[in-house]
Amino acid sequence: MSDEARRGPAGAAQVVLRASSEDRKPVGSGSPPPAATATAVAHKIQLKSADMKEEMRQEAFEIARIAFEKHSMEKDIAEYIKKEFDKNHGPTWHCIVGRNFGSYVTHETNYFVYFYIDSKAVLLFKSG
Amino acid sequence: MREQQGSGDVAGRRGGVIRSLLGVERRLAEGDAEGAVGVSSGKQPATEGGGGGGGEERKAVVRVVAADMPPALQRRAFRCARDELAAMPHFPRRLEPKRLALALKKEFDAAYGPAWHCIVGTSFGSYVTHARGGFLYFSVDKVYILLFRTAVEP
Repeated sequence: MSDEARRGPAGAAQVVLRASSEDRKPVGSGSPPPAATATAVAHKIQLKSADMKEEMRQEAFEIARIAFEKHSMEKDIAEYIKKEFDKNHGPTWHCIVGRNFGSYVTHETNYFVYFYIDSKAVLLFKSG
Repeated sequence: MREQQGSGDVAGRRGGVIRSLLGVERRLAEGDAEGAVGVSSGKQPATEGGGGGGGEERKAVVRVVAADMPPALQRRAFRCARDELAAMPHFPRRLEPKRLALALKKEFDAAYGPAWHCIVGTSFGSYVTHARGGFLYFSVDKVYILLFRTAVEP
């Protein structure tokens, strides 16, 4: 369960406080992996928490899949994902990837997603 | 720990600095099997040999991995992190990353203004853009803590 609270001075862009933690049980399910081509490796995605429209969520999942294919180090995966989102949706995005972490962040409304891809958690949000 | 600046093609706003941190990869006994989902915090390995439990408590070791933050703010982060960690269950020892992340974020939002973000864990990598002077990546014993600030747009 994600904690959530709205805050910010009058007139300021709405921002939402949100925490994520690997201790949570998987919630809901991501889209089933697309039919795999002979060479594609499908990564299992489990959505844990989101304040993001479906279309953008799906884009995040797809970009994460690509990132995991291209890179093996967590920081490189995080870099790839953040840069794609900065490019596609404007700055400023932040990405955390890992096996064991908890977080507490402030993000812009509608721009937060936290999911698992295989055994690693991905936190992606926009702020600033 | 290697620190890396992001490539120039991604510009942060208002003097934002892009910073990527080498992931800290630690194998945990629990949930390490391939395909495991939702790995929870494993028990922390003992950092000291067996000894009398009644001995005085050892001060947590703080190490700065990377920083772009005034010393006074850094010290405040260290104190806050130490205090929160000391208050967490010791036997069995259990890390509560979300609790520590919350405590640090709230303290910094209150003291220095929004918006701060905090990530706590034993195994994660990151790539973030932070406000100038608002970045700290440090460890307390074996817990890694990333604390950074972003500009809040009106």
